[in-house]
Amino acid sequence: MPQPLLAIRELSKRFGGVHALEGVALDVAEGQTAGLIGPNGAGKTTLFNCVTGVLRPDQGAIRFGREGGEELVGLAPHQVAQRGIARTFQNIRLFAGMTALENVVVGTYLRTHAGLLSAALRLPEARREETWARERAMGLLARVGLADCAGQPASTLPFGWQRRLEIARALASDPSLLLLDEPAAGLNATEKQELLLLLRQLKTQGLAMLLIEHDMQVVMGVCQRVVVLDYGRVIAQGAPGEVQRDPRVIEAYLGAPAAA
Amino acid sequence: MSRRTNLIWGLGAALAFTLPLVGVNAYHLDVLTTALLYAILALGLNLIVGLTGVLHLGYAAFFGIGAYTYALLNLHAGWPFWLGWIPAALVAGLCGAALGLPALRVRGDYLAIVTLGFGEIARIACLNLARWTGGPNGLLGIAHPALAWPGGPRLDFGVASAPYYYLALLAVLMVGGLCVRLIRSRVGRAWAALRDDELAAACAGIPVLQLKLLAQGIGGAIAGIAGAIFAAKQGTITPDSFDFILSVMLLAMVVLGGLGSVRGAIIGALALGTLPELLRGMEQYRMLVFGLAMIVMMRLRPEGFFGKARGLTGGSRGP
Repeated sequence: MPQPLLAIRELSKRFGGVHALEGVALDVAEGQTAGLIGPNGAGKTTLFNCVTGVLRPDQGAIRFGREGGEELVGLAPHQVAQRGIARTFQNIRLFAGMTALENVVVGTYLRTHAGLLSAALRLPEARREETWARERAMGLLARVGLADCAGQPASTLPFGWQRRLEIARALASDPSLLLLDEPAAGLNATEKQELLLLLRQLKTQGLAMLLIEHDMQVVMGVCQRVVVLDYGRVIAQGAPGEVQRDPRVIEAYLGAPAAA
Repeated sequence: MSRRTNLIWGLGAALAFTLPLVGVNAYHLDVLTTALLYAILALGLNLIVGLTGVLHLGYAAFFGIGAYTYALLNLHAGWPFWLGWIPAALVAGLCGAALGLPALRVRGDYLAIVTLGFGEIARIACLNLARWTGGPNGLLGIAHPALAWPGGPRLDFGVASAPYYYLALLAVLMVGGLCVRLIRSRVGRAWAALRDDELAAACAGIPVLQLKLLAQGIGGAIAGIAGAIFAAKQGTITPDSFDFILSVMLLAMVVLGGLGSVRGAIIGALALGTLPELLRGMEQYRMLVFGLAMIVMMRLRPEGFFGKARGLTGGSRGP
């Protein structure tokens, strides 16, 4: 296996008496698309929140980057984003007061540098950067198929489009790892196909992704590796086909087989 | 901004500049000058409340800090107004950011209480640090500004009305222009983003605390400028010019105009700043009518003149 880009070791997080995560280890290699699956409440989103600095884990290490990487535990969310990790949210979190285009332009924050002074004086470099950010955002909107609604308020877009808009916003920072929290949830069959197409394109471009997903069609369609969480522990991992046949996984999803 | 709104603002500014020339009397000019000072303050408060969604109830304190900074520099070191307004802005801005450090650790209602407390502390400190601030008597004999051409005529502002009117008008236009540019910049967009959703903004790489402090610093500095102009105009300042009621009035102006809107802040300040004077004819009922007008306005158009529909504290989906 190539060098891991993201290496999680012994990660634990408790909420009161509940072990949301317990000794979780997980790798995502450069350019790899990994799936994170498991029943509701297994700790998948908690894992995302620990990686992105939203929650601080009680124990464990999260290293990110080439050649052994850098420790992420203890960093604030914006610092994690600076290191090259972008994410989407299970319950879509767009900037409701902005248009679709503006949402994506906000995503370019890390790729732009204009400070207060150049903005106040409207220096040429600030204006150039602004044009660049808008063009980049338009390009990303086109990429997720939303070029026609650039000027629409984000909150008025249909649900499936909002999901795609969130992905465009995340891509705007040009991340090296994209965390997707249930990107297919609530999508209809056509929208799901479009999403799959988009994810495959990103994969071809070499973007590493880790996605939480319940929809097996999406997981099987795009993931090279699948990690299964149950009650905060990794109970299986491997190629999608193997994992699907793993009796422990079937048990976690369907309950223990009735005694013969 | 579209060509049409540019035209409207251009016409408005031109009209404002000609007012003293067409024989508006000194009293009315004074009322307008005060309203313009409110407009500067509302612009600064709008950056904090409207842009970053931080409910600030002690904003008048920065106005006072600016006024006292210029007054002290003028009285003890002889700084003229044209230099003195700069440290007034800097000191008020630093105080704004410095208050943000502890205050932004709490949220929502608690934050409002912390800022309210700060406003009161600043005023009471002014009352009691009599050696420096003159206590309840305030500071007297602050120099009025003057303009002089080398070897040419000299214009003393003195107690005239028109020079201060022009000074305040110029300040409104410059601060307003600055606000528009900031709001449309990368930083302004980041402010709007963290007001809409702090967590999503942080995960997009926006340093939330740093940007909030920046907004509080700039907002404080703008109040400091207004304070320096106020001190230079009055020649005398006392702590009760910077009380809680002023903070609340300013907040009402920003809300009335529409949170986050630059023109809203200006129009809201001009409306609330002149309305009590326009209602003079009603004598003792005027504050009653004033209050009623505000209630009706908020009932019919809660988002204000130019705002997008959004509540004071309902904007941010924080934890």
